[in-house]
Amino acid sequence: MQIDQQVMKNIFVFMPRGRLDAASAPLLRERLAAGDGGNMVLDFSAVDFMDSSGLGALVAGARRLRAQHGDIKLACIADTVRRVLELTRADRLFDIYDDPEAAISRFAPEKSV
Amino acid sequence: MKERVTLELPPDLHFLRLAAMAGAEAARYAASAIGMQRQDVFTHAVELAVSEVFTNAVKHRRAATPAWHVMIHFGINAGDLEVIVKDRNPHFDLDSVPSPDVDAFPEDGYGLYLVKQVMDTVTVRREAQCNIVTMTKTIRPEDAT
Repeated sequence: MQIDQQVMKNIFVFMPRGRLDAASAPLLRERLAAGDGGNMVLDFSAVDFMDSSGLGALVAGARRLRAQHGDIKLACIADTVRRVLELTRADRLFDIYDDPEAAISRFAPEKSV
Repeated sequence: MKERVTLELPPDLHFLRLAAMAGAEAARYAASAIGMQRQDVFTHAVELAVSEVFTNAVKHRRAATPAWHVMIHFGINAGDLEVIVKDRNPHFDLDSVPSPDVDAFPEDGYGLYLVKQVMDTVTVRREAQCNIVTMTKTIRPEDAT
């Protein structure tokens, strides 16, 4: 798995590519743990499969960030990923958006002048 | 129609994708045999279940045991599928594996819970020092979405 990273409006945006399973989840856990308690968006548009190991990485990252007053929001999740979140009821743990820009705007809403 | 396919894979996560995608392909073949056009839920269920069970077989491997392979057997019928995963790990009792407390959002323990949710039947038996996990899945109308 490859995980691209960029910063948009002071929010870390991670874009994992490929399958999120026991072979790749440790890398995502490592990336999420490297955050300093800030806010993150995970753009899942290039993830087509996630099993319980991937879910564990997401839950661990969310718990860790929230303990530090940060948060993770998800964007562009495939039906297969949504199914795993719903079956485990972990969909209640994450705000899920159709695109990363919408997730970022929820962290950093633009101020009206 | 009754097709049999067997894989023998090293107990190594490098082969996890191959195992899971073989499950998806076997499911797709079973679904296609009855003319189902949309097979997403059915194929994903089998792919997920194989991924979870193969991962368990690798993670619970005893380092000291002689080399062995995980055997994955697919019994493919028109409209349903049987998956058998055989390993030489220490015995485990399916009923003794607790379900995760989903309201507490634990970081692990979801694997077999997911398998039980997406497959129709899941059993584990011990035979000749092997764990034999048998799972079945039949296509239902709601899988055609």
